[in-house]
Amino acid sequence: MAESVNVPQSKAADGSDALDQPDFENRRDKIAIVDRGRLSPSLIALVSMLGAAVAVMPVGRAGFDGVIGLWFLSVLLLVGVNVAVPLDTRNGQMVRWISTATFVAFMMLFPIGKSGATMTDFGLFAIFGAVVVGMNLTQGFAGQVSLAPAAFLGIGSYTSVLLDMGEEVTVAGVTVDLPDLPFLATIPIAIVVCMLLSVLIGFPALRVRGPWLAFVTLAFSLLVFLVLNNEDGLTRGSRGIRVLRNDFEIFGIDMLPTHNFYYAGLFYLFFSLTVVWWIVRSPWGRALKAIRDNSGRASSLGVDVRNYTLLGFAVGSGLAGGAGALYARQVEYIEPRSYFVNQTIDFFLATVAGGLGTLAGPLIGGSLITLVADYLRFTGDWYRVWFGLFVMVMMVVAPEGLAGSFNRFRAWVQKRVDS
Amino acid sequence: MTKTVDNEPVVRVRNISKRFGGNQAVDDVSFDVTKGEILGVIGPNGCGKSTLFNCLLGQYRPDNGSIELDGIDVSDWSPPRRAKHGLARTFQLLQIFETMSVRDNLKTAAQEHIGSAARRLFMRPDMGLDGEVDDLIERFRMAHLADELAGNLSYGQQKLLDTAMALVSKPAVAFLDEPAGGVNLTMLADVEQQIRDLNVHDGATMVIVEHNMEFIFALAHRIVVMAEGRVLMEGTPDEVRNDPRVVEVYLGGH
Repeated sequence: MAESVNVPQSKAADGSDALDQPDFENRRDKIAIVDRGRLSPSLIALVSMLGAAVAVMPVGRAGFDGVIGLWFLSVLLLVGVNVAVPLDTRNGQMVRWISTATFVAFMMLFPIGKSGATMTDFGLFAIFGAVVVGMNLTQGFAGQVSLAPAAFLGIGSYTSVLLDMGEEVTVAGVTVDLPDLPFLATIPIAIVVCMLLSVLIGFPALRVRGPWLAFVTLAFSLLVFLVLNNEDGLTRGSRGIRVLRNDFEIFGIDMLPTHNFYYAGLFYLFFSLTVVWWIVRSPWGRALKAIRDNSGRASSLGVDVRNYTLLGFAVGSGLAGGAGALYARQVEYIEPRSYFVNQTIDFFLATVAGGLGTLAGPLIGGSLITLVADYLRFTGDWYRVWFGLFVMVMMVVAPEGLAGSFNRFRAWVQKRVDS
Repeated sequence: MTKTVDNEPVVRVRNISKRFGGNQAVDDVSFDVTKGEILGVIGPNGCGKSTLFNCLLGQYRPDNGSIELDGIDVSDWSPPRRAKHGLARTFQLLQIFETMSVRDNLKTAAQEHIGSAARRLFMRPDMGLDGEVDDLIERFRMAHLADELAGNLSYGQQKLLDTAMALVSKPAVAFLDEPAGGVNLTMLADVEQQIRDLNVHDGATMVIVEHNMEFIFALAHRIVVMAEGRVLMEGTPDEVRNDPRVVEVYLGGH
């Protein structure tokens, strides 16, 4: 009876071909470059160092004083320790928390003795940093390119400012009396508005896998710009709106002076980081990683690819919206041009240069487009050229971004130490 | 091994057809999957086995026909929805998450079956799956590899992991596309042992597409033979072995 199916017997079964199997045992070891949703303290220390370096660089801006010098040395020490100590050990855990605490303390104490100009830069760093953190969630973790963070920043700004002015606006011939809400209340509203809008445009775009979200968000950015520029009755068009900062107190402390307002931005940056960290370390993070690794397989295992990517996009956009509310108060004047696509390109470059799919990458990227950019102002309009060149070179030599390169460097050092 | 099964059909496949251009890949295929059985699907290359799987699991939309799970028509459901309701699968080509650890691969395969999406956001990262996952890793003799990146495993181990991922959520029916394909001889016995174990001890119901005849004839309770997109015959391994039509198909009579 067995002879009737002799022919189809597979080659592996009779053993003749077993030795012809490719040698899979000798596969090149794969290094997980993307840190798996863990707070990477060395990178945060690196950011601190970058911040410190930027702060001491120009003469007459902050000045090289003893405190900064001390910070600089301690951060350098932390980076060294971080590179040497493997994170998965108990000592590594301790280094992780000490570094994080150092970073937080550094950012908290930084304004002491700084000029208003420096604090404006750092305020902007905190706010744009939050946008890049959100963009990194969409792009680095959810694996979808959104070209609308600047548009959402704008929607957040206008939503927050308009709801804070208590004036009449006219949309499509209908005049509406807008309320005069406290500034703090407008931030969650800006976040929610942006999240809803992003779900609305993301839902059809994410029906199929592909670059469609990038196209749709690009069109959306242009649309938002046109609406902001032309809906005169609502946004005052290209004349822009002078933002009155008149009602921002927390625990009786006036938050409006530049030094104090920096803390509002900083708090929002920490909030954004916490949100992304929380998502990435939860089971959602594993699902998002699985989708990036192999979306077809993830889907066959019950991971709803569309919902997860949509939520990653929505949260990223929401964070940009909330940042917009703060940005309007930081610069005190909003106009449609600030939210055009070129601003998105800045965010995009920051996300990529900082390191996709890492938690500290956006901080590095954010500092590149605000702090470092400020010192490249002398190049005039050329700064974007230099920055673009820098990112292009990085894409070739280190596609995983600055944070990813640092992780790789640490892995390399530790391998050397081990052997 | 005792080959006894209940007679309760858990999956009903009715009149599935799928055409690509001028090629009728799957033509009016119907069969039942009974609870607790291993159903083999065999047939020459290009007879539509993998296309059939893709139609049943939602990767393709069939031109015609339906699939019922426990009496519910799931033909319009998305692949993740089918998976959550107990239709798991592997693919012909190896599909694992290479940059994740073995443990994380299995947790990913199990986690979507627990709680709602909103609740999962606030659950601990391991979701209480550690025990269950480690248990399965132990049974598949991969304990020493639990924290290794899946991409670093040997091909045979990856194939085992792939199969384990389809089974970790205790699906109503697991559709395995060539679990023994490309696995070397030493590993082959292992794969066979694990699949039989899961069927006998855990009552796992499986539909297995396989080219390795020895392997599938030893495992399956029933076998569906496909040729040119159609079901040629259906029966026990012995009946299939002795059927002249099967021989003709494999000898290339057409």
